[in-house]
Amino acid sequence: MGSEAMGINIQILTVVIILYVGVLSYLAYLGHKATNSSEDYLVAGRDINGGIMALSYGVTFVSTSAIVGFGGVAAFHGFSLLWLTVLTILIGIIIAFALFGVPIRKLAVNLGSTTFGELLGQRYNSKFITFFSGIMIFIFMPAYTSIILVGGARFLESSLLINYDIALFLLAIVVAIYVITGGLKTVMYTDAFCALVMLAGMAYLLFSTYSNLGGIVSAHQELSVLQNMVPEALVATGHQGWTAMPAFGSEIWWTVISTIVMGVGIGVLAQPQLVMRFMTVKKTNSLYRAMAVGCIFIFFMTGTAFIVGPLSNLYFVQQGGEIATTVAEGNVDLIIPLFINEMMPGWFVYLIMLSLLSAAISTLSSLIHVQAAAWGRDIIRNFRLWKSPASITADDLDTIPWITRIGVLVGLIISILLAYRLPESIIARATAFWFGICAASFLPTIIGALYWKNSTKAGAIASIISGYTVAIFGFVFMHLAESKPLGIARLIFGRDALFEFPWTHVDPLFYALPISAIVFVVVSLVTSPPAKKHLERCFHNF
Amino acid sequence: MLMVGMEDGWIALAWWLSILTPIAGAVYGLLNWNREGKIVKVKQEDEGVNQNG
Repeated sequence: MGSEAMGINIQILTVVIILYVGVLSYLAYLGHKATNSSEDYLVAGRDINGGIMALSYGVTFVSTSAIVGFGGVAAFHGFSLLWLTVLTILIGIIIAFALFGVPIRKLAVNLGSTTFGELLGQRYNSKFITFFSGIMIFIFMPAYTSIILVGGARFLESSLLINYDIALFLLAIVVAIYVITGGLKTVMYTDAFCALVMLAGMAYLLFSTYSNLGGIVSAHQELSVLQNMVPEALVATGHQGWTAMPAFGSEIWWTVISTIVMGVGIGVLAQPQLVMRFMTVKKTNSLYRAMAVGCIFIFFMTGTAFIVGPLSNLYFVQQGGEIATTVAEGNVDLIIPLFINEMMPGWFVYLIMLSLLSAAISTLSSLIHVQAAAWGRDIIRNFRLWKSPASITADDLDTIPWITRIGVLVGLIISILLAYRLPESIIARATAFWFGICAASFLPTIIGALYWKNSTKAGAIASIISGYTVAIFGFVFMHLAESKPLGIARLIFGRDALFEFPWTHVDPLFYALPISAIVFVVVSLVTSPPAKKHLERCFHNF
Repeated sequence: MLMVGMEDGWIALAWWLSILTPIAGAVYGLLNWNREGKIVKVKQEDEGVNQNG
């Protein structure tokens, strides 16, 4: 999506971006000024307004790749992806805020937890759990962070016509400066501003798409008529048109339902960067207020992408007689930019550019902050507490540890290296991979931590390790989308996946999560429950 | 009308739910705006705490 092709004025764009960076810098300064302690840096002083928290949660969840990439995937698969919007709002906002957010906030305040790993570790009285979750975040999250970094840099490269390497480092430096100086307060203040820009851009995109295509019912009806334009190769794998579900049990059905809908929809509940947001609000009430804002925001992000994506087929057929995938020459990532470029007015291109830049910066800063917190608190500080408790002083709690700030740089450097070293096919799978291992490893343990007082430390450790192992095994040896580009299964067994269809297309979360849950329940039942005094400390105000 | 021009009932259902779920969530959030405050107040009254300080 080059600036010349988009017909935009590079001078105007430069001024707009300078103004935008100016506002971000001012918010970063406010965050920096308000950050005086470790708690300020890690959980924004537990003083954040519900609306800001909801917007920050939303933009952390939705990145540029989610809008552009998943919007393009929706243009390919059709409206069936709207189930992901429904699940994202129902599970990712309503259930997450009411059933997870409220008790997580209370538990974190009761135990003084400042990271995801600390929360689980302190609840189960286990330094190992904190350490393991810190290591997992620090090893696997950079792959996910690198997709966001690559997406943002590619976007800057094409829109500002600057070199890709310069764009990548520019983005990394901007994010590093404000995460290092201001911590989570700066991240959340800038997130809220980014969210408002994105809301304006995506809301306009949705309304103008329906309006330009003749209204809701008319646009859907005309798209239904195009069913015979679905390429034969796709029909053979289960595609039945853009306004119909894929054929039950087909390859496309398993991909849409198990990976995209269930994997991402359920995976959201165990995301450390999202769980941490619940610990930041001032009062538990704020989470209900946040729910109202979060529902509307997520609808306009994912709903717009999954409605506009399929409808782009109708627009491209009306204009040139070809479906979206053909116009984009098979590259689904180009569909949404091409559609915006051709159908939207010139001024809107500036707004959507800022929206996509906002999506990249906000997600990137949140991920980097969580990686740094995992490094500083869950790995380094927790390891000292575990092996040499006398080395921890009161200063460690009151001052912002330099080690966490170094974690920002280490996390960014690893992400940059991965962006250059890993093949694009692996990076593209990193979202489902990250969401899958998080849910399989942590979801039963989180639910138990909040709702089952007799769940035990041994049960939690066994569940985390079994869920993690089975999920990794599934991604490396069974699920074709990851096992093929990784190449380990071929190297050892001479084939891309160990088992035949449907296992090749069933997301590992589907079997890793139930195994992790069963192990958690069984081991907890046969081991001694935690001490009453500890449970009283955890749950006295529940 | 209920099919909103979609070919498949499951897709029409997804479209309606994607509109109605956020509205329901927003209404639920607003209705519970002061939920925790009310719970604390009820607990304090149960425990005989004088609300007038």
